[in-house]
Amino acid sequence: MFWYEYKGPEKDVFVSSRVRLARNIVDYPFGERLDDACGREIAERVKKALSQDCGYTFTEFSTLAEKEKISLVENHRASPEMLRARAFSAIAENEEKSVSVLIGEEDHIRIQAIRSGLDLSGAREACFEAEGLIDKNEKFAYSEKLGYLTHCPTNLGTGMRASVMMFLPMLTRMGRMEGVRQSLHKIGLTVRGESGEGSAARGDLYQISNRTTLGVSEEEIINNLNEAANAVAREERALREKYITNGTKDSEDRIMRSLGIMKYARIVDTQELYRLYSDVRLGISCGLIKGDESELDRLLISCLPANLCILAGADLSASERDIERAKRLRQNA
Amino acid sequence: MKCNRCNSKEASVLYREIINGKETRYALCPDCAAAAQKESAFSIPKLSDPFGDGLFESFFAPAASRLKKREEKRCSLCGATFRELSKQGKVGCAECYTVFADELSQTITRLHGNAVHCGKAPEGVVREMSADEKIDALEKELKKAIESENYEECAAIRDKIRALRQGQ
Repeated sequence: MFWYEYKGPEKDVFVSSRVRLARNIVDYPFGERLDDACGREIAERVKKALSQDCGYTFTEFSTLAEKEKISLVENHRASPEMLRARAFSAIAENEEKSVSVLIGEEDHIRIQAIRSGLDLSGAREACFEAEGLIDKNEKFAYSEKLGYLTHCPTNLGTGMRASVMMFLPMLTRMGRMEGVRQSLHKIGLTVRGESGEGSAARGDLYQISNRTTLGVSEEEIINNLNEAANAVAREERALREKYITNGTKDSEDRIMRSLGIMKYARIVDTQELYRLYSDVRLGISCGLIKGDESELDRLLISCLPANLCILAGADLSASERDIERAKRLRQNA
Repeated sequence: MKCNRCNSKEASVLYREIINGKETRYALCPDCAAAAQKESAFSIPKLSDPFGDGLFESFFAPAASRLKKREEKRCSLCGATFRELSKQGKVGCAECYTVFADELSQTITRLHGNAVHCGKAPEGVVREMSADEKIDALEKELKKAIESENYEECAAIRDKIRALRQGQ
């Protein structure tokens, strides 16, 4: 089973929890200054370190087709940065595809673990387990004062970024997200759209993550994020209770109309997919539609462009994808 | 009073904008006030988006401009100069943090304050705990000692905490 197939805790508001670590190996330059030969050496060293755990599979990016690379990003198994892959870029993943070790990202090594629902501690444990395998064999760039040394000074210290992907349709519709963003900014948290940096909040999905990495421990980062995300979730739930569960027929009508489109439409583009997803997911969470949020999350991921092409076994054009997407929605809604 | 911006809705918010030290006041409706606030947040992306590209160019810039070409030193591992780092906004290698420690200190302070690492250390590295961390650990021990009614130990732990606090 893949990470997004698990039910996970508090799925009504939390889609997933993720922790990523930035690590660099001593004596190798960073970024553009790292040549392909040195990059390959690092990839080999990481591959060797992870071979202690036979669950990991190692894939060189150069062996992947473009749609396969994009699919990794759509499934949140690789970061968008990996699409600007270097000649030595590679990804090592565990069996569930819930832990990925990325080589050739901004830092030499990025380790990320993802869990369904709200489970930051689980993600952190999984992340450090993978990091421990590499730590045993390699010497990470580290200073007592600045912690783990990273290509970009924003990641110094723990090198850890913890994030939760939250589904916040009511806060969005009530125009409260700007306020949420500002309040969270004050306590060192950043709100972004679902695909991370610079992305729009499609499907009312938001990523909330820590901004500070130096001078805070890993535990403090997780606790602070957990606490703040739970407060946001409480607000979202209160609005759902007021406007959906005990609300007028208008909200219910909008949700059920979207379910109707999902079940019967013949052409659906990505923008519409996210709108339908948001309405139907809200309907499921409020008990108006029988279903499971995890299954809907899985359906959304499978309807993204590269995943659709892989599932259909063909390079589909944009209009062909819209038809294929509608077909998948009809079959699974 | 009508909103100074849209001239249609009723103004209910007094909006102050300070540009280059010059203050301008507007009476705005709630919608325009929210939009104005958003615009001003976007006009200073360096604060609202600390991970945005180009951020460090401006952070590095003051220190970089003070350097004259003849004074330029290079990192012994990657060969980068501070001027090059400031252009990219990222360091060339781990060694740059030592070689350009003085030049980078301003950037790091602006990003993280005067913070010192207090998280996990790599295997084999024993990290000296800060006074605050030691106090936290001792307070946990104290709680356990109180629960087990070990009052002699309680007194000893309290002394240690007091000594650490005095030293701060």
